[in-house]
Amino acid sequence: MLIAKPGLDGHDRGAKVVARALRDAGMEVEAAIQEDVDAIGLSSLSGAHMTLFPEVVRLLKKRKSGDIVVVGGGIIPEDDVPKLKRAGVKAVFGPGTPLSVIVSFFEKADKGA
Amino acid sequence: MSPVPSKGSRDSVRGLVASLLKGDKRSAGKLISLIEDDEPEAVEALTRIYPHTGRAHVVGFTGPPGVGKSSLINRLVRTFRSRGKTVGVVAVDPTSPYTGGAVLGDRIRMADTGVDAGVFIRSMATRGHAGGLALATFDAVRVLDAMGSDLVFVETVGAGQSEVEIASRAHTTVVVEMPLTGDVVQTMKAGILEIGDVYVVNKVDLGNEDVLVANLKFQLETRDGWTPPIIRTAALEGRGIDDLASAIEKHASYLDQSGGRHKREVARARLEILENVQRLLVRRVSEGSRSGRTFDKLAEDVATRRIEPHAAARKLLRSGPSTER
Repeated sequence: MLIAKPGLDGHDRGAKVVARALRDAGMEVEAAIQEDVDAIGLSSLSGAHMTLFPEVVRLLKKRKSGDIVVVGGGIIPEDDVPKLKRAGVKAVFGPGTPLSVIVSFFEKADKGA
Repeated sequence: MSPVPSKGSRDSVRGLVASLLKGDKRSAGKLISLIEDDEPEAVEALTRIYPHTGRAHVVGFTGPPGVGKSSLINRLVRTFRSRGKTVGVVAVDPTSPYTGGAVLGDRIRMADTGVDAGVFIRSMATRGHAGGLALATFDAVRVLDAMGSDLVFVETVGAGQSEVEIASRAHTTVVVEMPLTGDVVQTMKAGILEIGDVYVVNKVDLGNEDVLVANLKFQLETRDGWTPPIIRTAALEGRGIDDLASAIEKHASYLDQSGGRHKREVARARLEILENVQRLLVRRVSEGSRSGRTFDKLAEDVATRRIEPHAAARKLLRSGPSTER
C-alpha cells in the first residue's frame, strides 16, 4: 500500500497546484508499480483532488495496472465523492473516518479479489 | 493483502519473465514481490531469469545511517542517466519491529528520480526474509539486471554483517563516511578498510574533512593492483558526484581488464550456493517432515546432554533422503 500526499498544499495559485499535482501523479504511479503495491491512498488538502485522483487512475490504466486500488482522503467536499467514484476512485475517507471503517474496506477488498 | 490478482500466484511466471525481459516495470515489481515474500514460484522465476543476468554492473553502497547514502545515490543516478546509462536501485529499509511496516523513507529522499523511464527504484523491507535479507536483495538485483539495467545500486544500512555481505556480492563497493562522526577509531571499524573499492567522504560542506581523508589515505592499501580512491562529495549540493561516477566506471574497467570480475562472480557463487544449502536445510527441518522429527529428537537429546551439538549436526546431515521438492 502506498500512501501519498501529492500536490502542493497551502497558499499557492490554483494553476500551479494543478500542474504540480499532475506531475506528482506520474510519480505516484511509478512508485506504485515499482514497489508492487495493492493500493494507493491519496490525500489532498489543496483542492486539486478532482484533477489529481482521476489522473492517477487514468495513468494506472495506461500502464496496465488498473487492478491497483485507488482510495482518497483529506478535505474532499461531499458533492465530489460520487464524481470521484465514477472516475474509478474506490473509496473516499474524509476527516473523522474511524480507522475500523478503513480497515474493513481493505479486508473486504482483499476477500473480494 | 491482495484485493485483486496482483501478486504472482495468478500471473504465469513465464509471462512475467517474458515481459520483464522486454523491460516491463510492472513485471519487475511483481517478480521482486514474489522473491521478497519467498513465494513458491520464486524459484521458477529465478531459474528463468538467471540466464539473462550478468550484464549489469552492481554497485553496493554502505556506511553509517545518516551519512547521506540516499542523497548520494539520487545524484549519482542522475549523473549516470546523463551519461546514457539505465539504473536500478534496491534500497534496504529499516523496519519497525512493532508494526512490521517499513517507512520506505529511501523512496522519499530519492523522489527526484522517480519518474524517469530509465530508473527503477525498489525498497526492500527487512521483515522476516525466510532466506535472509541478502539473498532476497540480490535476487531483486537479478530482476533489475535481467530487465536491462546497465547499473544496479544496492543501498544497505551500514550495520554489522550487512557491510561485509554487500562487499562479497557487489562488483564495486562504495563505502560512505562523513567528517565529524566521533573519534578516529570509528573509521577503522573492523573490516571497513578491507571492503571498499571506492571511499566517499560525504558532507565536505561541513568542513573538517581533511583529517578523515588523511586517515583513510594512510590506512588504505593497494589490493590486486587497485588502490581505492577517496572521493570528496557534498551530495546535497551535487559536488564531487562526477568524480564519484568516474571512479565507479574506472573500477568497472579495472575489473574487466584484471580478470577481477570473474573472480568476484565465482566467489559470490560459492557464497550463494552455501546460503541456499543452509536455507534448504532450515526449511527441511522446520516442516514437520521426517527430518523435522529427527531434528526435534536431536534437539531434545542435546538439551538433555545425551549428545553434543556438533555430533547432532553431523547426524542431522546424514539423516537420510529429504522430502525436499
